Amino acid sequence: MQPRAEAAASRAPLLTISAACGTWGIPSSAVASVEQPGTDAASAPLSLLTLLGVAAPVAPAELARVLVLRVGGERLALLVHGALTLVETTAADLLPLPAAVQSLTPLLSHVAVVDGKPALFVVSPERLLQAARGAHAPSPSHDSARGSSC
Amino acid sequence: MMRALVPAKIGQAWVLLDAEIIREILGAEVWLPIPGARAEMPGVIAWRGRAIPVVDLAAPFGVGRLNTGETRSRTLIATVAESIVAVPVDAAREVHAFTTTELRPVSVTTLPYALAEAELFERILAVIDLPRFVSEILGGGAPDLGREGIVIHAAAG
Repeated sequence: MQPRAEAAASRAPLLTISAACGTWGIPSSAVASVEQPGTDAASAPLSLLTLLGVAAPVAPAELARVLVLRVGGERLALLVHGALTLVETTAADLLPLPAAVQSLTPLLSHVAVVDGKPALFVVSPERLLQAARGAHAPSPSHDSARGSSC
Repeated sequence: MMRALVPAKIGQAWVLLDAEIIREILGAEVWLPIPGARAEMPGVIAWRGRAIPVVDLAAPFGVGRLNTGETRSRTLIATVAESIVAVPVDAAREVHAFTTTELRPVSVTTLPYALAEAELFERILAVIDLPRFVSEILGGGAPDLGREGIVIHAAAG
């Protein structure tokens, strides 16, 4: 039997977002809170799918939530659409992405295996933060070339 | 000098792949689609505790590409360019050994990545250069995965 401390150490729960374009996971340890979106368009958070470069169909507003992440002492608010679920995984269930795939999807870090099958991609909070900084920085235009529809 | 080749079927096309790069032949494997990926590398599978890319030969062959949620009945695990990739196929047969004189220059088949041709099952099959196909897809970004010994399990289509 696995010692309790060891089992706790290997836990890697994910907050998953099931959207029309697929399911994504974020380490729940990085999620500080889940909030209702505000009405102030000027302070609207960045969309997770936009950062991922995925062009999604317009989702119903009632499915919108704001995930507030805590990454290295910084706060990052992300707009997500879809059902939120907490999935219990262990570190062994999270498989690092091969370099060839990482180059295509730089914000994703792992594949989560659920019931023995690859079930969803895990988004790296640290890389999200870097991408968000880039998105907020003055830039000539949005890099639409990386976008992909689902 | 003999060359061991694995016959594999993709769509209606039978082709031959070098046996020395095939590590395992699995059954149908569930794969996870990569958002925005090209048809030649549509997703990843989990294999022996690692995620490996799925490469689809059907894409360059111009036959039915793997769509999300679809699988093929066999999955070849191949070591190519220091990477390990999964190649879904519709069928795979036992390894056949060919002499160098049995391998002829490409003249009948029209598939891309064909290196040579050989006769099997009373037809002419193309020997496909899987390493070149994979190298072109990976674009030099090959991960440094382990170089374990090659184990080929007998498999039937």
